[in-house]
Amino acid sequence: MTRVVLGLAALDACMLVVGWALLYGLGLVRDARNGVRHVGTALVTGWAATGVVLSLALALGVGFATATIAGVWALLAAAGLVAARFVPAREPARPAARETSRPWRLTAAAAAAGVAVLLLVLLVRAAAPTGVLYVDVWNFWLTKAKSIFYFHGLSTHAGGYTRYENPDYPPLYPAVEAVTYRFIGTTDTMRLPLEHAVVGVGFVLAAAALLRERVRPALLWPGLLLLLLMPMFEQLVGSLMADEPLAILFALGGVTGTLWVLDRDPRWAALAGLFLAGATLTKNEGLMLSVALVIPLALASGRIRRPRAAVLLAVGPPLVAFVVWKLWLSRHGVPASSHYHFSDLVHPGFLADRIDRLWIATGGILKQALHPEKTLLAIPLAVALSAVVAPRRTMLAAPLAAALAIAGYCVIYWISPIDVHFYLKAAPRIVTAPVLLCASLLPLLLAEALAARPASRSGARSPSPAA
Amino acid sequence: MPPRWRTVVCGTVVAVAAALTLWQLPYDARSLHADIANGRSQGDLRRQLAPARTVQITDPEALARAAAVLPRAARYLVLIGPHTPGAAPSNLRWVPPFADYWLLPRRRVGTVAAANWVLSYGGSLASLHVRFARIVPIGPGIAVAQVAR
Repeated sequence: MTRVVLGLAALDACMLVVGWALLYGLGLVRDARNGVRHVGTALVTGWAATGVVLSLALALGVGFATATIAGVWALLAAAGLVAARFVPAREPARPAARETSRPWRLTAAAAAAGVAVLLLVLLVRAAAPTGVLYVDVWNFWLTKAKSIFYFHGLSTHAGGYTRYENPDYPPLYPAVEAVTYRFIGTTDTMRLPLEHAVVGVGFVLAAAALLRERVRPALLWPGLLLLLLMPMFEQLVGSLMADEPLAILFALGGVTGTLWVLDRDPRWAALAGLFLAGATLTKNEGLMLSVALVIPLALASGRIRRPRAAVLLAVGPPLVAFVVWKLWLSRHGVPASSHYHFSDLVHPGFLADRIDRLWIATGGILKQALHPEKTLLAIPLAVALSAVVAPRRTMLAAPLAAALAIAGYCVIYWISPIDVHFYLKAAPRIVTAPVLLCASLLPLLLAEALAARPASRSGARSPSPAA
Repeated sequence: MPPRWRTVVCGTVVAVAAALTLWQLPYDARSLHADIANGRSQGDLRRQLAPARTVQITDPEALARAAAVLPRAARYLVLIGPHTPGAAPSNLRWVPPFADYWLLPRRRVGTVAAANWVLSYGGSLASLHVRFARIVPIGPGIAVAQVAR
């Protein structure tokens, strides 16, 4: 057990340092105080960057070994240091909002304490997991991870990466698990949930650090407490399903993407591009989710100076990731496991014949996405606030992305030949990405909705509306 | 949106979110406590084999014993059949993928010609028409056999 704990500590320390190097390069972290503040952002950035670059390296034929992991990290750290020579330090768009009245300060402190306790409980629970309960986890995700670990990369031979169900699924999640195996010195699955919980904690801390400039503490911490109490999030963290990293990466892409269009700062677009590349390399639908997020962001970025360059920063990484993975699949003759073809969308007769599926799928998916107990109404609350901020289209991008993501899944269920009721068994998992996006942005949406009100009534040094 | 309506919407959202948070807190505490207690009440092997039980594999411990017999470089064939208690097509079909998961880096192959070992889970080794150097029983109707070459 000591070996496992030390291994995980070393792994997270390395990803943290890599994340800090990248944030340093982007000018987001240039001093110790900001470094501490962005410890969660650094962890998830290092984790996502490790996954993306390692996946691309494996797809380009590099073998999986300790030297490869070290090389990936050295490359990322060097990239951060080089970028720092050209990218100036970021000046905060505004000073972080502070509570000036005692009741609001107490509210914020109580909620922050609640968040801290829940994060600790998540870690304790993950240290003694009940076991892998989702079939897909052992049926192919972790088996692929073990295959990468034992056979040093993306082998296509017996026992290799492509010999299991869904052989065309991209390799980020198994590759990152293989790195964990390397660090803990065993392929014992029971040790993985703890690492997932650490990333989950990093995600919540990242959301807190990213939003603190625009959201006053009395809104930020209760909002994050709501997210942590959401049963869908609680069940997601440590589940070992690929939906877990996918949802986290999509939500992080949404948060940083929203900051990009609000702050008009391309640094956030670069981070969004990294997270969306991660989502694209996690599951096949990752590209669909990335497109669902990039389209509204690009539309909202119309008033940004040099929007094309920033859009390229956000779009480029997921696109490159997608192309590299498709080339690897093509070179190794791996057939697509998806049973649907988007080309069917241009055949009206085909679509009309199965229109019933669309209604069934939409009903089933929305039932999960709007489930009051599982989601604590994250989407309806975000939609209600979107109505308030509607005149400022920059704030509509993320809620619209969540809607597009759900619509994308409905379309897939519509055109696929597989029994729609079988598909709908996965609905509680697939809606986690849009639900988590909305839950992460609820504090920001509320802050922006309230920002238009007179500052004297809000009880805080309220930020001025942006854009 | 008129300021009055904005106030109503924001106030409603805050009220609903606060109510949901307070309502969910005790449920969450109970659920997390139950998860922690459940996880700590079981041994490591039982928790590791939990996935096999979710698909009703009748004797998952047998696969743990197979890992002790099969060398790490083994290329093995999984042979399934009805000759083990509780065997049914619905659970037998999960034995090969669970063997993949549990037995890596041993490689599962598709034909006996490519295999140097056979994991028979309720199957009939005689039906393969090959000679075996040794057969190690690891459970009722379950055995690991080394193909004689």
